Amino acid sequence: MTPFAPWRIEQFETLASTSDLCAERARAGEADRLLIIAASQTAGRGRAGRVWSSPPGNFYASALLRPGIPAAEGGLFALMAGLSLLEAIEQSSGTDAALRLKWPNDITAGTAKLAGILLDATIESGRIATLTIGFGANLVFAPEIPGRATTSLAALGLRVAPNHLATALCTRIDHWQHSLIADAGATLRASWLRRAHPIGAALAIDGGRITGRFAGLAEDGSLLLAQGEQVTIIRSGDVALL
Amino acid sequence: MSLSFDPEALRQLAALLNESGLGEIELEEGDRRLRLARAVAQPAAMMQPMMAAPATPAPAPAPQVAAAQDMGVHPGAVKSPMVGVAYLAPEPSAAPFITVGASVEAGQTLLLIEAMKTFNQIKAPRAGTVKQILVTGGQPVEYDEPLVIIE
Repeated sequence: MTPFAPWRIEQFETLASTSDLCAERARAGEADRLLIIAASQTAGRGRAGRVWSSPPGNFYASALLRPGIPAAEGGLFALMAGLSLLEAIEQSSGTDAALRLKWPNDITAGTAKLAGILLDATIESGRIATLTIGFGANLVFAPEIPGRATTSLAALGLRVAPNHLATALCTRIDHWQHSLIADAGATLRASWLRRAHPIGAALAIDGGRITGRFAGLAEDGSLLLAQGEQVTIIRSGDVALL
Repeated sequence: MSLSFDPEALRQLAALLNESGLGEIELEEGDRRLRLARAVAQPAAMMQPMMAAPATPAPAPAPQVAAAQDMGVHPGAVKSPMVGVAYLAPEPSAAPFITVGASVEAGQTLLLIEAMKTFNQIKAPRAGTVKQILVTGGQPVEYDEPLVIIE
């Protein structure tokens, strides 16, 4: 097992977006394993052009990886990012909180969203040249999102220091990336499944456009949705627990 | 409801589906039947029109499919390295990355393909002129599907 290079962690008071700076550094040739943290963001973003509210107190970080794997295998990094953040939160809060993963990498407490992840990759000759993983976790504040329940670690009675969370996160990313290399994601998928909505859970995709029951993960990390005797492979979409 | 599917068997079937490039696999054993199909959910912005659309998909425009396959052998075709949803602009309100007739440099971003909350920037493999853009924003794309023609 070849060890990865040590992480370089850079901390900022305010950034427009940790992922934007991380991607900019990647374009300039930055090596694998940079973590950028900001105390607050002025232009934090979520999926589909949504804003990620980023007041001081919560956790905003982006990790730069250069995995060099085929683009079609990138979904395993989306799962890995969620599991790494979940485990880092548990380790740095010193508690086994009842947190769960929602496909592909939201972290929830009950039905409320606690943390979210957005990944940006550059693909060259069919391979992932750079991967920027943006992490947002509600440590202190739960931003209000219309039509969606949110919570924070503080609301759950947990206290986490952002720099402790950052170092724990780097360690978990190293662990799971080694695991991915060792067995092509078998252990990662099994561990992700243990921390996610149970098999058989009722799910709605994209506000109910497709509904069904959770039937597990495909080899590439896609969601398997059972609808009667049919199983559909979902590669993209917003998932809600019913 | 009880799920009688074996998750491990499903995982292997799903892998087979992805590797084979087939759209679906149907198995029958006695009175049990299992159909495994590939679907890419529509992006949120497409939700309303999709929900308003009839449940049965419109008949596939066969000539267009044939044209896309022809483009697959075009020497200037940039093909999709993955299954996902194509986006032609960095965000919904922004200008597209490229337009037909524009010159592009090697390494320039042509479009995004989203899968599992990962936005993949597809880069131009070489410099040239954009002759054709074969996908629309929000369109599901398959592995190896031609996306853009650069000459």
